[in-house]
Amino acid sequence: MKPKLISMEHPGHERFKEFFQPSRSLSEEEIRQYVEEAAEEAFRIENLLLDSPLDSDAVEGYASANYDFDKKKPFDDFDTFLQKIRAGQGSKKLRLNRRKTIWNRMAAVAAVALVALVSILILRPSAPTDADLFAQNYEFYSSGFPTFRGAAARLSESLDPQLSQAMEAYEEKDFEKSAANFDLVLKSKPSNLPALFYDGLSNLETVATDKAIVLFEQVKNLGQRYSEEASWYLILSYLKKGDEKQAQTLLEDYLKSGYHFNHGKALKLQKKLKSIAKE
Amino acid sequence: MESLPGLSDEQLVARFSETGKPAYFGELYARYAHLAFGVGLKYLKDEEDSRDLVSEVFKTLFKKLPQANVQSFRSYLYAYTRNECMAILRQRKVKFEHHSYLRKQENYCDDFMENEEFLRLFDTGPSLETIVKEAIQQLSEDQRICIQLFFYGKKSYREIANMTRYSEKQVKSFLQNGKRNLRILLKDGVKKYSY
Repeated sequence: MKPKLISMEHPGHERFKEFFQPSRSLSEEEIRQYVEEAAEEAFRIENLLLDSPLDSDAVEGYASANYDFDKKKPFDDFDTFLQKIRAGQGSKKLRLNRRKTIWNRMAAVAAVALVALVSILILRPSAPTDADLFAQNYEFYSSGFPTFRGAAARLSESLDPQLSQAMEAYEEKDFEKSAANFDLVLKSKPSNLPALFYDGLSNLETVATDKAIVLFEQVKNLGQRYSEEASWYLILSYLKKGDEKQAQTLLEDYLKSGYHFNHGKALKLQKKLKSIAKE
Repeated sequence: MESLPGLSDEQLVARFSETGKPAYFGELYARYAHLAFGVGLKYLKDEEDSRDLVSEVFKTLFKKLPQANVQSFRSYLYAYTRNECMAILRQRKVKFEHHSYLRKQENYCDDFMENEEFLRLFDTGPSLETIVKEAIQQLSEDQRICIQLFFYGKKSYREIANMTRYSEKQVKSFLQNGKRNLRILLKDGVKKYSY
């Protein structure tokens, strides 16, 4: 049976139409009023922000930058823009290229320094200790979790709040806090892969190596996402612990498995461990 | 020349593509340059980089727009601007490996287009109070509360946050997801009762 129809004049109908009505984008003045909490049409604006990521991100950008709307527009007016186009100019490219040149120089200097450092490490007479090998091979594994406010907040909306707090702490290198938060996540979700893996990394950083080993083994045994990375950090955990033999065994398995994560490093580490074993 | 402010974005794109007259593009620039700048502020956290971003994005659009198959200029501009931001962030060695985050953004990007499609459907027949009520009841509690306060009560994000235990960001998220779900539910409901 069809439900009773409501008339087109029913206020609910109009309100719903308004709710779903596409709206033009916000002007700079409207953004200003909204950011400065003086907007008269908050409903229209906030309704638009739900649907238009362009407007939503822009408002968030102006708000987070505490942007001064009174100053001169920082970007070109259209006439200037057009003149630049006709003159074949591109400010960003120029600027980025300039930056690139600076970066290239810095990278070259860094590369020379790195080569020198590696040479010293290779040529030095005494065999490296496990701690040396750990230090040479360990690198912070960035999760890519955005630490700046807007993106972190948006990402947090789609994640378990405890997990996002832990990820944020991890990315900010507050490893004690991240380890504690990951532990809390694992209490309710013991198989949560990101929590297991990053908890392992956090514990490795806080020198709780045994716990890190247990966590990496769990991730490795689950055989899914992060298993390659966990296998690599498991090797490093044993090196850190001073159990060179176990590290070597795991490293052999790692290379046989055809894992790609830090493959080059793994090969070099294998050579070093073998040469140490010979000595 | 016809009155440019009266033309829709897509009409401006079409006229610019046909005639190559910069005035059409200029109107789009006037409507959107400040928004692209705001997106830059959000992601790049730097005014100078955001200024360069606006210049670069519009420069590319100026060249590519006549050949591009643009259905919604606003969505196209957002996608292009955000991609540029990501490229710049990658240059800064900031990694964005969380695909869930990007996926969420991409889904979010489609909503604007879906609204128009949905409204066309909505206009084909009278609204059904029952369908609306049923649809709202099917939302999760968080989404239902926020949608009712926003839609019926016309409360702002902040007012809803003050009235509930949610943060403003949660309110916005519940509203975004609630509105998306409601659109799907209502579309199904209208179709169901149309036959």
